[in-house]
Amino acid sequence: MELKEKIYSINKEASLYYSQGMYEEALGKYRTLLKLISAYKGIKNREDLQSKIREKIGAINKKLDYYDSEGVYTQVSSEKKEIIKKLFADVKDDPEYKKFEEALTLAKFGQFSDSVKEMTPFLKNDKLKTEAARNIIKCFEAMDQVDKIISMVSNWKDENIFSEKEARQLVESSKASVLSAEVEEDPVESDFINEPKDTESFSPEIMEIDSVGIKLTGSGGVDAEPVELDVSFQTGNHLSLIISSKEKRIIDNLDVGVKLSDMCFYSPIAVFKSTGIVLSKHQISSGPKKGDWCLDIEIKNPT
Amino acid sequence: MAVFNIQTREIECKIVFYGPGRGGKTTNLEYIHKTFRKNITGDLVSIDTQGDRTLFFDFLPIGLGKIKGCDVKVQLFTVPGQPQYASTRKLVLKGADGIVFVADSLKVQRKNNILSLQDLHDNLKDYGKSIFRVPLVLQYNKRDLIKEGFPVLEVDTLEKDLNKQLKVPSFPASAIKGDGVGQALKKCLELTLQHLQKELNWAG
Repeated sequence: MELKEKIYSINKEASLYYSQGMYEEALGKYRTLLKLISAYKGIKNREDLQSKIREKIGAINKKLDYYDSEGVYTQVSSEKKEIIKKLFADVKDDPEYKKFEEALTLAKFGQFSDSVKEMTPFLKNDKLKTEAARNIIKCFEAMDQVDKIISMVSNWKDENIFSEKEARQLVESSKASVLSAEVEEDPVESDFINEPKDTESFSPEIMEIDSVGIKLTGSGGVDAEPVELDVSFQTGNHLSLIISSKEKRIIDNLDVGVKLSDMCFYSPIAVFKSTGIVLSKHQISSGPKKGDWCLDIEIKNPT
Repeated sequence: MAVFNIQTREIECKIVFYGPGRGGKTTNLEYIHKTFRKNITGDLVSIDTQGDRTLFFDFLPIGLGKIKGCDVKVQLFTVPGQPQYASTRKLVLKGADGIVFVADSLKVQRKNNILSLQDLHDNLKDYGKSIFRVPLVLQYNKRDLIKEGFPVLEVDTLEKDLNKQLKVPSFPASAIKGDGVGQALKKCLELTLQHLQKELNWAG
């Protein structure tokens, strides 16, 4: 191919990629073109051409910088937020839960401030307050405002929305756990929040476990959705959990044989992470817990 | 996930246009919106764009009218194609009843086509669905660029790259000109409604 044709062909290709928004590809072609032109000193208007190509490269770099600086999520208009909620929030019969799902959906689409705003009233709802709190914390994490989490959780504790233990657990499950000393009132309890350094010494077989944190999968969220469940009975590394029949999403997610790859175990002396497996699941047929579900979990490989 | 209202004999399903970034998914919806006016039941909504890149999704509701006594409504969505929007892409894919995979015929997009199809496979798997069972068609977009002398992949190459195992219907297309857009959508709807008939038995 003649040099002139070659230059024309590369330039055409670069222009196409640019026009289609394929900036990386356009950049590659313009750079090839610049090298090619620089290598042939006999080209007419060589310096002009080089200058024009450099201008184009500069413009593309600016565009790429702009896209990089914009981040993954941008704030959308109120009208579009309503469309997102309408199209993606799971429709529930219970209007209150519908509102909750809408707030959750906003977070999934990166509308973190609005999600926090709409999620906050649910801190007064006993059934949903823990899930609401976790989502508010996640939003602050996503907005890189981890430092606010500590004071926020502390306020929730002062306002009696959460107990001391609940507040600690909320912080522990967040990125803010590294800053959690401020939440602590009793310095002796600091191990409670921070992960043990020597995990070998925390054998689940000898520890009493109060509650477990499980990340549910398949619930449709971006991330696995953590839930916290109280332990009703423990023998060694076998735990029994009672789950209310109302918690259908949890029950449906935890079938016999399901491996729980990311579990948190809360004991009076430490918090540790491990994996687990669902050994059995049955519905309680009599007594005050009739209709609720009993789940047996075996703890595996504490880390 | 399709919603079938037995009382009103109304069925609503979701078709998702999936594929690599800059491949022409939004252009597909724009062409459908512009061309199939009598089927359009609402505005084409884009949420949100950065320049001309889709950041969240595009949405277009259409109506197919009565099919076997049922009023069939379809929601068309596009996903954001760029790799960094993986979580949004997965959210938009949730509940899809049928998929149009828009592959880019440009040679420079060969790897991105394959990665995007793999991404679709992984996301469907996470939702408990198999790419081999979901109603799916492939659209090889930007075929018009051959005439203009741009480096474009042969259809055979695209077939080998993307459809060797899937063996689903595929359509050469030019979304900007409208070629192949209607055919791909029609086939996808046909497969989707057949699939839903098996699942929901909506046509009785």
